[in-house]
Amino acid sequence: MSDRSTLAAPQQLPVKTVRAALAVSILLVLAGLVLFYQATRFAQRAHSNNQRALSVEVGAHECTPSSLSVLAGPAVFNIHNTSDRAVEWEILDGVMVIEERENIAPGFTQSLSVDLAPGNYAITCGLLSNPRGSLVVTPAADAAAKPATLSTVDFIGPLSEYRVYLGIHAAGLASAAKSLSSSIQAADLAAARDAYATAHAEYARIAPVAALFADLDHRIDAPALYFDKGAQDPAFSGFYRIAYGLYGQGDTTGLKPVADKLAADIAALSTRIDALSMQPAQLANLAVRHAEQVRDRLAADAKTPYAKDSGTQFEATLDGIREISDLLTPLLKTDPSLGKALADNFSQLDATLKKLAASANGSPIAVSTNNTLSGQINALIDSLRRVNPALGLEHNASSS
Amino acid sequence: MTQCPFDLTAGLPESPRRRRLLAGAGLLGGALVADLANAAAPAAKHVTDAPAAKGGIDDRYPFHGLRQQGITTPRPAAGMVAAFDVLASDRAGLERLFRVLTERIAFLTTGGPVPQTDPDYPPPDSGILGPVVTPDGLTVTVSVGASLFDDRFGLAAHKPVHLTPMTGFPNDALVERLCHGDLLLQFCAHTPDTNIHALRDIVKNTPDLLVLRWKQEGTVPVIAASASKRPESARNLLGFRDGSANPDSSDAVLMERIVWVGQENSEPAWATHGSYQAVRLIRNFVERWDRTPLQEQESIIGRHKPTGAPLDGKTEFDVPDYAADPEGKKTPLDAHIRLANDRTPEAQKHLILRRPFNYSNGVAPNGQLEMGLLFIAYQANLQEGFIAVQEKLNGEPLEEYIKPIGGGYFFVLPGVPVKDDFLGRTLLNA
Amino acid sequence: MKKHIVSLAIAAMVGGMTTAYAAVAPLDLVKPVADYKIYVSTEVTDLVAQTRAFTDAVKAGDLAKAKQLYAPTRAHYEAVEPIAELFSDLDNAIDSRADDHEKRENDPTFGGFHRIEYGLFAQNSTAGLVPVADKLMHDVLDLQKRIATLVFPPSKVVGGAAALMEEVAATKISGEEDRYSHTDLWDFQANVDGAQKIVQLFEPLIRKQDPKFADKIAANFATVDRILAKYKTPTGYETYDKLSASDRKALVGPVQTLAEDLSRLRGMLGLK
Repeated sequence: MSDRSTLAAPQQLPVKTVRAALAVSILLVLAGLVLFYQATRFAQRAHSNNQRALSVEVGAHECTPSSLSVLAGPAVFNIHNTSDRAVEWEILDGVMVIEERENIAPGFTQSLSVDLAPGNYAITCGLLSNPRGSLVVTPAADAAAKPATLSTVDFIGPLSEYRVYLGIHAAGLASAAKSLSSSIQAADLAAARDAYATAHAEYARIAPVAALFADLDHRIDAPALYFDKGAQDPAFSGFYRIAYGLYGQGDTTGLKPVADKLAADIAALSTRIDALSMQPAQLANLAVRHAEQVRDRLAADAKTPYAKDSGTQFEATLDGIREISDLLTPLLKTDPSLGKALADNFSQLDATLKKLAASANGSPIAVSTNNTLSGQINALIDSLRRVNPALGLEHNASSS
Repeated sequence: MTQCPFDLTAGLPESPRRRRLLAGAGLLGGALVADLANAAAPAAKHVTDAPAAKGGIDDRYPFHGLRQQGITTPRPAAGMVAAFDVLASDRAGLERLFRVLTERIAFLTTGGPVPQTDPDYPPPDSGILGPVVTPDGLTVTVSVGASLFDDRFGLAAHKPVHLTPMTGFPNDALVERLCHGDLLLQFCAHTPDTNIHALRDIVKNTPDLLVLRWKQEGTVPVIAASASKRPESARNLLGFRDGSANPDSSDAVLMERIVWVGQENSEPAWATHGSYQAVRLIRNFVERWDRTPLQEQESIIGRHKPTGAPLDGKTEFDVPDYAADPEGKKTPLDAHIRLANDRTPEAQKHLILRRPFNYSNGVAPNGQLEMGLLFIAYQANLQEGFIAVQEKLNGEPLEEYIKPIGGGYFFVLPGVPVKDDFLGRTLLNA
Repeated sequence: MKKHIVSLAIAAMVGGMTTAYAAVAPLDLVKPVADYKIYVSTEVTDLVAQTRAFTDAVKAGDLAKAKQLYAPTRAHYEAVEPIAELFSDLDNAIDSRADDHEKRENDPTFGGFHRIEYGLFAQNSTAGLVPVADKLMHDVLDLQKRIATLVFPPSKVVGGAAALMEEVAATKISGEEDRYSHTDLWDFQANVDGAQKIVQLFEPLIRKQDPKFADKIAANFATVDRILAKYKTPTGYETYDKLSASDRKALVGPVQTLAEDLSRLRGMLGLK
């Protein structure tokens, strides 16, 4: 039995180790101070925006931290890409994407604002093959909801109309995908290009909702950049893979399995859209998210030499967002300036598109035009962000 | 002895207590029990006995005056309009018609014994009211239609400025034989029989001068008089109070402005002290109305059904504050009362005096009820009055439940100021 | 004992007057409303196609063909009347009857289906109908465009079932709709089909609220369908005059009851 009254004599560490340990700990303290300073600056910026900010680092293989926790309500995330390829960052609720930031260039930081309801979410971290992190949103201390001027009943009409719109264009998409398969089968390049353009445009119209189904969206509409081996990656599929074949390589070789897979994914998408039950707040939120995605992809699409359908594609994309805006505008009676702002945003974009159509002739959009578009889309996003507060809707409702 | 378990009075010998109990159990028994409790009221002996005369059988509105009775006169429980074609072929005949009408109306509204005649001859009076005609508050108002001013009597140059045949509004389904007329008589009295008696008297006295085109009788629900409260408006067959916002007919200055034709109305001189009269037979689709949620009914009309209060008010005579409700959240922008009178200064130009009755006729071929509103309105300017208001109402949600099927536009003749004068004299002498 | 009886009576009165329904989640109405728009769009597509064939026959002077196409074409309009009549200018132009016009059949503003019906069946001729046919085609196309962009008000969709039965009660039971061709039974069935479609789309919600009520509605629809089915012919329906007095009487009860019951749907589903 050991004698508890006596302590074991401490071992003596070699001096070098002690010094090294001291240096490390000083460095750690300094690093900590730097980090603390940075975090304070973020926090100060967040405070000046009346929001809390959280930093997330997206590395080559994972997120740091990989486990986040915030209070419910508005939050800002600063996503810092420390890997060497462009990445996207998503907040997922099951398979539904709640918010995302796409195309974050290596070494750059982008921020993402989101209003979260309590629940458990997942976060993506770079490459699709990287493990996911977790985000826990806890209920806020004050859960006082702003009095809504509208009741849920007022949204039945717009939600039904949007559902019909989705149904019509999902059907158009399925039909065009079928034509695409058969023209690729027949090795008819001209017909395949036509079908591709039609199908891609129909997808663009329903893309705000398709983005909710991350797994399908990634298979249907992910650019080569998002894959480890780029255009050569075996997982690279969907519209961009087909465009690479039809335009980049100029023939239909090897596209049959891609087209078939696309048709199957589109059928699965139709089923999911049919089963989808949307909340009123999702309409504007999806429009905002999609507009951000479009803006973020402008640069990426400009770099894709084979994205020949940019003009028509952009127009269809705009139509999809405009549909949501048009459905909500009649409910904005308490803020008539917002309705006008949205109308102005769209007419500016229409004007730019018109100029594009007159000149480009199906070629990718020029960088300078990209900047103009980017700015105009940002103006639209700002207006769209005002919609839910104007409707008395705030939180993204978690489905969990 | 086993007592009947439902004998409420078992074990209670005293009759006042028994009566109290029965009255207390009125929840189950209703009116019958109330009758038993009111043992003092005399029971009717024979079903066909004449009901006890209600008040007013001797009420008499003087016939002579600057203006005809029946417009600003208080509206009684029974009304009737009868439209006629004039059979007289010249001015002399027309004058004779006017003189006969004057004489008969003067008698009927004053009352008096019926002249005795030889029984070998048809009696001059129908006898409905007995050997002595009682006035019963009767008024008979004589008005003329645009068609009287055609080439028959040379009156074209003297036609009142706004008098035209009624043309259909978008929701109308006018039946030709229920529309227009050379002449219209409005009969009002406390009981329908007085009106019928008066009509038959006039018909009997004008066989070569008038032939009936169409007629419509109507009633107004009677309520117990209350000395303290302002009388409430009577209800129409949609169950809503009708007349809440009607101009005050006892306000002489207001009546001068909105009802009576005067110097400022740019009408022919003979028409002074007359008024324009708009008559509309408006069928109500009552089955459909009775299947409409109460809340929707109230939104369509713009009033609270039980009280008649506007949707932002408490009592029937509260004036709605539309300025405080520009988006129609309290009172919808297309509510009937708001469309008819939006309470802006501009709306003051379009005030009309409404004096309608409810009518209930027969059964339509589809098995639905033919009942509705006998709408009558008076104004000094037909265009600014009824026509302007109806144009504001075109397209209102209430149109799903109503269908105007007949009526017409008429001009009420000035009154008969002195005894030897006659109706229409100023027109014939114009 | 006395108190007991009185309170029993009060309970019976109150119980009979009100039925408390659980609140319906408004978002549960989104899919049925969307599905109804799809149904209406399909009917209107058929209406456009058949109106084209009908008006072509009228313009070509093919009296027999035009007569044959009249009723089946109209049925698509009658089925979607709750939505069509939201556009009152088009409803008047397409479907008004002679007595809605001052000069009745001779009124120059009398047009649409019933003006053509008057020419084909009462005057037995296509003379003078070309401009009327052209206008009808134009108006039907306009209706299609307007419906495509219309956000269907949920209250009008659910209330449409009752509105269609009111139509039947007001004009189809008595044969007043198609007074020259007497093809009222076609329209009768179309109105009923339209009402049944709406009820079908909302049936799960209705049944959840009140299964007995849902059963009662289904039974009344079945009775109406059963009686009308007796008048089916290979090409459609018998003319209205063939409807026996006893069958007409047998139809009135279910039709009136459906109008009454369906008038409660909006309240039951939480709509104003």
